[in-house]
Amino acid sequence: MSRRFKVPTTLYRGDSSEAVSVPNPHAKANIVAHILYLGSYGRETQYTSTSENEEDAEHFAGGGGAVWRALVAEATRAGAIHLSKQQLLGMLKGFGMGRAKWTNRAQVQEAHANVVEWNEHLFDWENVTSGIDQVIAGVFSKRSKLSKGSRRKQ
Amino acid sequence: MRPLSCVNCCHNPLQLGRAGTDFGYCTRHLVVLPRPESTTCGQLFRKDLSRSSAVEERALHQHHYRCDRISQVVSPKVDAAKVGLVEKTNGFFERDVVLEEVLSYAQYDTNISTMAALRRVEGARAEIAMLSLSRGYLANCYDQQGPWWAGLHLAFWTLQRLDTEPVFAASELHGPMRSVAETTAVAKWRVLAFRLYLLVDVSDEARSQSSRDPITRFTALADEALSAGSPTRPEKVLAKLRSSRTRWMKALSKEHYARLRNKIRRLASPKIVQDWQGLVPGREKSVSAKPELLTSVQRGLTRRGEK
Repeated sequence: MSRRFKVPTTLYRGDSSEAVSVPNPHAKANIVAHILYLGSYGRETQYTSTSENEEDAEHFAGGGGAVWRALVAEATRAGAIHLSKQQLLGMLKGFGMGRAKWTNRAQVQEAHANVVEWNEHLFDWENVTSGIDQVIAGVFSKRSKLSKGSRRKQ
Repeated sequence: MRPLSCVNCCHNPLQLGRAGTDFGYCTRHLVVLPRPESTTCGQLFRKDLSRSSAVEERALHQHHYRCDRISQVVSPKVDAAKVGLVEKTNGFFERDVVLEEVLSYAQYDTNISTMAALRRVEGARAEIAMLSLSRGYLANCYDQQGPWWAGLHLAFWTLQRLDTEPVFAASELHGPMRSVAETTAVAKWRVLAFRLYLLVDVSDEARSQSSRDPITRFTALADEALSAGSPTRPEKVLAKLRSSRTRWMKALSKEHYARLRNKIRRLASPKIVQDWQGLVPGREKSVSAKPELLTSVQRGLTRRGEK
């Protein structure tokens, strides 16, 4: 019997405290290249990485950042395609499948490892042809990052 | 931006994914990194890529980040030292064997002898440090057109334990975990992959230098092994490595290694031979060098990439 995975209703992203990074819907980036952040700083991507685990997002927020959250239903209503962790793990095998098709198997496996480690989900914004800034601002809301001390007390 | 940060750089040998310490240490800038996931510099040499891809990514990285200082990864123009993201070493953690060897490598130029010492320390953290420093050392050699066999000892040592299961102490995994079993599995897979990347680095460099040495077979063997199992099933990768052990050993057998070592000893400078002879029991006699053969070898084995 196949295992059923519960799709989370809320996803989290650690980013700067001012705003969530705005993707480029026309970028046509590969999923492997996006997850591995190939191309260095400023590389174009139509994806937004999120995590189903709030603590993972806190880690990415770092000392000066913030945790942002988004409801999956709201994001999909706004035009995003939600690629769940399970879907990503299914695509990241061998030379990759679909938008994760890649020439280097080791890099596909590295992306797979990152998705597992950080419980990663992606939002694909390629269908949002205009006003991406407003859409991102509308979908993601900031929640205050808990300090390490208060987290430990809990 | 974690893949672009010091956590993912070979010049920070204290971490690999979720394994290792929470803080990092940069063997280039000689500083402690309290939040290595927030910092980077233009000398980034990525742990999660083999050398050919890591060099391409480093070139792109240098368009945005300076090589002479550590910057905040989210803001390339911000000096990490000015926002409290680097610290000088102050002699803390003196009893940590791995950290002692890493500091010795960085501060006293101990090179191969540090890698040899780390090789003898039990545990995944020591192996991660050894592999990290080794890949950084080889990157430096090859950047300066050094010979591919500058990585010979490192490749042979890595080959000896290629199919042994990495062992983590409970304190060696950090960060938020939803599943300890899954985190441990991925950590083991990362160590196996890291071993293979070192062998691929040497193999690819041998091929690019038009060598016909059987070591060039490592690239294909590594690709086969990594494809055998996903990061959550490192036991499949181990099983593949064990079943293909004969083919790995044929590519760099003990006899072939000994022949190559003797050949290198005839070509290399006294300083380099002295460095290596300390690792071979009973070989204390120095070998006279042939000056006309030394230039490229010496250049290739210079420790730092000063330009």
